[in-house]
Amino acid sequence: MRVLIIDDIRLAREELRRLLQDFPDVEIEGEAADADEARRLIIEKEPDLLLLDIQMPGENGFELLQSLDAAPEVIFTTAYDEYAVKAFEQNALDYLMKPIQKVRLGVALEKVRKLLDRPSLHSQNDRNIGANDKFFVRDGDRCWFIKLSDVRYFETMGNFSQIHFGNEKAVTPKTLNSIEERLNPATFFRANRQVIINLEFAERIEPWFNGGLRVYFPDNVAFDISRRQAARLKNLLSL
Amino acid sequence: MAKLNQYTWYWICQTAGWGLYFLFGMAMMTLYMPEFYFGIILNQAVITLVLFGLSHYHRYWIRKKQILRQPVLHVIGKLLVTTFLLSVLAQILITPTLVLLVDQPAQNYHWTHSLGYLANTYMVLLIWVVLYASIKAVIRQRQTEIDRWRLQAELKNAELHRLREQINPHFIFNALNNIRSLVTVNPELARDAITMLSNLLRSALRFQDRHLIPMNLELELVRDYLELEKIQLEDRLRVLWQLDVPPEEIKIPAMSLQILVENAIKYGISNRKNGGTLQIETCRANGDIIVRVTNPGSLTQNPATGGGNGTGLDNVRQRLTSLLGKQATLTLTSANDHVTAEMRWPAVKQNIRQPPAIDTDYIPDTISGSNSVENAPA
Repeated sequence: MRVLIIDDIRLAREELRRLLQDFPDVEIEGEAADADEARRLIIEKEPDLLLLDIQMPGENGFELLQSLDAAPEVIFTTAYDEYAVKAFEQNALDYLMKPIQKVRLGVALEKVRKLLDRPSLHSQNDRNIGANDKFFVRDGDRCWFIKLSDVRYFETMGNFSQIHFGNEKAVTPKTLNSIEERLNPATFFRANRQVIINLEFAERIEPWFNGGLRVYFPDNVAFDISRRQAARLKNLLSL
Repeated sequence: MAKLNQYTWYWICQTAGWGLYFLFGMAMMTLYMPEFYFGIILNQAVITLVLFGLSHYHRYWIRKKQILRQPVLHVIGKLLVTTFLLSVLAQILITPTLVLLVDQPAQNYHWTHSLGYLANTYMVLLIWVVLYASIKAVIRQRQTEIDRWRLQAELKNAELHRLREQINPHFIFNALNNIRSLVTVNPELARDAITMLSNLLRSALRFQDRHLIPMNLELELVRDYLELEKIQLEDRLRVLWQLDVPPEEIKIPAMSLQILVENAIKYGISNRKNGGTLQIETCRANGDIIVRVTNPGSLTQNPATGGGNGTGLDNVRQRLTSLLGKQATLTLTSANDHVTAEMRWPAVKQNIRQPPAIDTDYIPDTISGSNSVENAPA
């Protein structure tokens, strides 16, 4: 397990290093004191896991994660942050309170180990995010790690986009176009100007007016596909 | 059983009480009257109904005039008089009604009988009013007790809240985490850090709202706090001291400078990658004493004015005015990429005396930041 330590306090990083010594399968790939350095290291080293402090000068831990297209596994570390902890508990994200207990660290690492053991479907194309990749979204005081394959569709909201996944939805400050650029077009299809849909969720497709198509999703959700995009979709699915 | 409110209880007691009175009267009359006839029931019913109505009116009047809130002697005097007046009124209402309805035999009527009836009614209505007033008193006493407990709980809560305002929990746990790390790499510094954190926590626990403390003590506290922050922020934190007023000559609300410094670090140093320089000054101007804390940053990005830590500053402001007079002020200004928090109050009438020697057994000397310009007073 390849780990990156991100914390602005040197002593806290050292303490974490010492704690991690007792876990032989953990390799420390590096440490960063701020978001910029962390971003550079994440791209360079592609770690499996981030041990991430939330409060940092400049960009904080959440902002760093939100700037990443796909995030590695993350264990948050925090000294005291009522609101963040509440958000974590709601969404079962793992966090450790500083000073960190070795037992708790062990439990958190074990969870990550299990996640990493699963066969991963990493994308061949570097530009795109793979179906099993996770990305981080923070909407108000709630936050999620969303697995791309759980997303049913993205819907435009001006300069923001709404992500529909599971039984929930979250708003992210990215335009639909910028999201589209990062997705694999074979799975995530731009149905029209309003939405990008995950074709894995399509139940059936029917011809619609003006040479368009209509795609039916579970729960009576349906998307109209413009004529121009319909041709592309037919091509894609070799209909 | 559903909880009944006081009003419902009143009606239950009122009805039951006068119902019993009616039955008791009936029992007496059937026992001692030579012959029973329908008029006796009517007689007793009229008396009971009139007394029922009058006692209810009495209650209405007592509540409206808030009689029971007055001094005890007033209460007793007034109730004796009003009960008497009501008894007279009762006779005026009862006698003609009975004459009309029951056609009582009047042959052996004597005026002293009326006096007897009056005395009787007076006694009954007095018993009523005594019962009413004592039940009210018991309820009121229980309520005050509940209120007192509630007030005490609220006070405790506020105290806890204030404690959290005085020392940021984030700071405490980060400090503890740093100490944990230091225990391995620098045990000597770890020991000092524990002492400093203890001093800080003790001060926060000990100094309640209503205290002015000698500036020396406050400075000691602030220096402990800064040393702890330096362990964490290392060379990102630089401190410039400029104390033009001898600290023995100033008294200051406990933890006030500490809160300003903590605020300055939170919004002006720890959120900057390269940190910054904190400036702590005291001076005199136009007969005022001025204590100033300056940090890099601007007010627009400083949530201290809006939400966030505004309550901490409000707390300081409130204590300044209540301890040092209405002219004492706390202002927050920003200029040239710096934010300055300034406390200012008239220098007159400050109780100048030697501060008691408290906590002097510890003097931090081992970890004065090498990069900071230390001009701390001896």
